[in-house]
Amino acid sequence: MRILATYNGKGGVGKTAAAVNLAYLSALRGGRTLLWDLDPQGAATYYFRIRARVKGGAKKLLKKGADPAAWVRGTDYPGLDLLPADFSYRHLDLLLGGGDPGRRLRRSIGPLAPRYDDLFLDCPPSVSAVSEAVLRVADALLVPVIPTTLSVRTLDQVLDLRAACGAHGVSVLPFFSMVDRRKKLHREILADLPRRMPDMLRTWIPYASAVERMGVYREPVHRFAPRSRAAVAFGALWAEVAERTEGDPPGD
Amino acid sequence: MDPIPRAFVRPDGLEPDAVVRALERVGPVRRSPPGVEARVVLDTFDGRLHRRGEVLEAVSGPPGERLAWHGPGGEPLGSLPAPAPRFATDLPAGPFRERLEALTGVRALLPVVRLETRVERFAVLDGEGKTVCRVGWEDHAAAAPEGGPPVPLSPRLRVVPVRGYPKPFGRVLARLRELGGLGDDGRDEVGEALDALGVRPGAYTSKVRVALERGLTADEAVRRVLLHLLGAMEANVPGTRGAWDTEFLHDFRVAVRRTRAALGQLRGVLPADEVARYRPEFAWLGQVTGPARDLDVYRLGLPGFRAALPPDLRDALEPFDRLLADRQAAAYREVDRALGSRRFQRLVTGWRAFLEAPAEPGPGAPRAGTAVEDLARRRIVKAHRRVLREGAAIGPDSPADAFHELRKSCKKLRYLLEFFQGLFDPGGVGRLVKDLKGLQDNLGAFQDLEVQATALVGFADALAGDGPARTQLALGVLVEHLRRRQAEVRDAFGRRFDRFAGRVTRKRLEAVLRGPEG
Ligand SMILES: Nc1ncnc2c1ncn2[C@@H]1O[C@H](COP(=O)(O)OP(=O)(O)OP(=O)(O)O)[C@@H](O)[C@H]1O
Ligand SMILES: [Mg+2]
Repeated sequence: MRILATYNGKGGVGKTAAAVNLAYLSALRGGRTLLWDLDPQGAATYYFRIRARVKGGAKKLLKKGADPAAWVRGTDYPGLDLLPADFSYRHLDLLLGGGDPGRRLRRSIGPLAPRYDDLFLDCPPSVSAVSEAVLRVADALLVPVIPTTLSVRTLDQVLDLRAACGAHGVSVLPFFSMVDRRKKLHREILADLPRRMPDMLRTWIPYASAVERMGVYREPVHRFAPRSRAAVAFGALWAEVAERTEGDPPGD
Repeated sequence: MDPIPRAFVRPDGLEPDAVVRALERVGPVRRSPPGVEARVVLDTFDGRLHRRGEVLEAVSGPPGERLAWHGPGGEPLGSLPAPAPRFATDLPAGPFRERLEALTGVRALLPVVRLETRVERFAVLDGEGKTVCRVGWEDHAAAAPEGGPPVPLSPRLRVVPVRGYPKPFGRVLARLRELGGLGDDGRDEVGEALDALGVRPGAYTSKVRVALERGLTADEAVRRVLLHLLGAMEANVPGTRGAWDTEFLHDFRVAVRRTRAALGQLRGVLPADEVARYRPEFAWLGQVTGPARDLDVYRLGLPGFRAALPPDLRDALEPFDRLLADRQAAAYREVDRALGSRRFQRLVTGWRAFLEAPAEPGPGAPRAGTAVEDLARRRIVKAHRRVLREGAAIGPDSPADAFHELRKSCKKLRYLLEFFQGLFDPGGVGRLVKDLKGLQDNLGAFQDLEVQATALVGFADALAGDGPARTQLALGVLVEHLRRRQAEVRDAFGRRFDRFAGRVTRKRLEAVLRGPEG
């Protein structure tokens, strides 16, 4: 099982949009895919019209010996399942932190490995024990970066965090998100940053109304606007991510 | 545990509208327009999916072509927008292909049965518009893979749970049951189609499975074994002639080789003059099919060859592959001619008639009346001794031929164990075969590398005139690589052999042969 996390300490950069659309594409390409919505706000869960509730809460879900599959729900799309968000996830820091922060999360994820090819973790915007645990279990972090000076700084913070918690096994794969080519600054950063950041993915996601409309239709963009620029861009992004993480030694 | 999908047999007189009304008592219903799907169930010749209770089908319907793969409980194992592949490797890279490839290996996916399904789908929704249960109104007809008239099957009402929503599923079942008359025949339309057409995927296995009892005469037992092997040859003829995949020819050859080993190892059981008439015929079969198998092996090894080359030389093997492909096609034409010949026909019919004819004691068959277990014991002990003797004589400087001879002796022992396994404790025989296999794998690898290296040199000569220099270079690198691997394999031989010749395996053999009453 390959574990991919959408992460950035900054909010509103397109983590959830990426997690939902890429997970959908992974399933569409024949992967048995699970998306775990780790954000208590439950945006990803909402997009799938699923109730943001985990019976017994995060505590029961993460308990030793628990099998998260018991809380999994099938989405409307073949091959794609969701582990919903829950309000209790706001305490995830306490539950996952302490000692080796990756250990408990890894233990919880364990039983899922034989059942899924891809596990997506949609992370809340924070720099916390949750992020640290995710960094330690994931094979790759997909980091959306809006091409503004401030956002680029948060990318450096991701790299710092990786170094600080010694999560050397995880590849950091940043990609540009919400790109507006009419803006000079966007164009400049689009040209400059990849030079400094060779691991940067080549595909970028344009600022596009189709992504915003996901909230109206409550579906991945491919379902209601398969030919939109955003859908095409997510398609290319998934192809690139799949290639870059292929043969990534699955950590089990 | 998730509830499993149900495929009820629909009663006469039930109308779709009545079903919709029943479903609406659970939640809002979204109804999709009816459509027709053409479905082809796929499996390997030896039924690798069927044996696991899995179903892989290529579906073409209104949204396009897709592959759908389900587990024994109907649980989804994957879905992929792609037409029916011939091999798993024809699929786009990704987890679906990887999982399928792990199962099917080099075997082709052949059509098992065709279904035509007219379906109308109903999705039961919750208050958010989320699908919580799926229902299908389905009419099916089945046909054999090669075509033929469709056989109508039972009309069905399929109820598919959505993971994590067991309650709506239960409610849907309850409402539908209230309509009355739903039948459960313990299968779905695929199972029904297989039954209706008399298709049994996986009926073929390359393993030797012959029922033998102690006390049987050697004559009767050996005829049974040989009939089984003849059946295996015949089963593989169409796939070999059509080159459906490389395993057909391989299994065909194994059955021929086993037959020849039986005739050589079990002398004095069948009338000598009859055997003497057939032995050259089986030798002929081995020989006419040899070149095609060798070329299969080279081409199957090509990905490994490529990986052994430095990246900038990998594409240099293209002319080599083309040469192999040409020769392979020519070799398969030879095989096709041989298996379509009168000579082969006569061999098969004559041999079958001979094996099925009642045994007549004669001077050419002094051991015909021996109890089979005595014969088996004696032959196995002899073959085992021979392996030990030949292996012990092999030293660091032994020629490749010595390994080749030992390999042949190992095969004979292996075949004897397999022929007669029914007479002995199956677990014990299984462990022995496993011990032997460790040694055989080593010897097989050594021999393959020897043959490949020699052949590559030959191919390099064949390409010398018009092949690009890079191809020559690549072949040179490969030969060197093969020789290095061969040296490693030879180094490992000593350990492998010592383990097989050791006390544990010897005791195991003794225990097996002594048998339960011993
Ligand atoms: N490429 C895009 N074009 C236009 N709007 C976008 C794009 N990507 C995301 N959005 C919109 O921006 C908002 C934030 O996006 P999203 O929820 O994906 O970000 P996030 O990083 O997950 O946010 P949070 O930190 O709150 O979890 C959403 O309203 C979404 O519709
Ligand atoms: Mg989010």
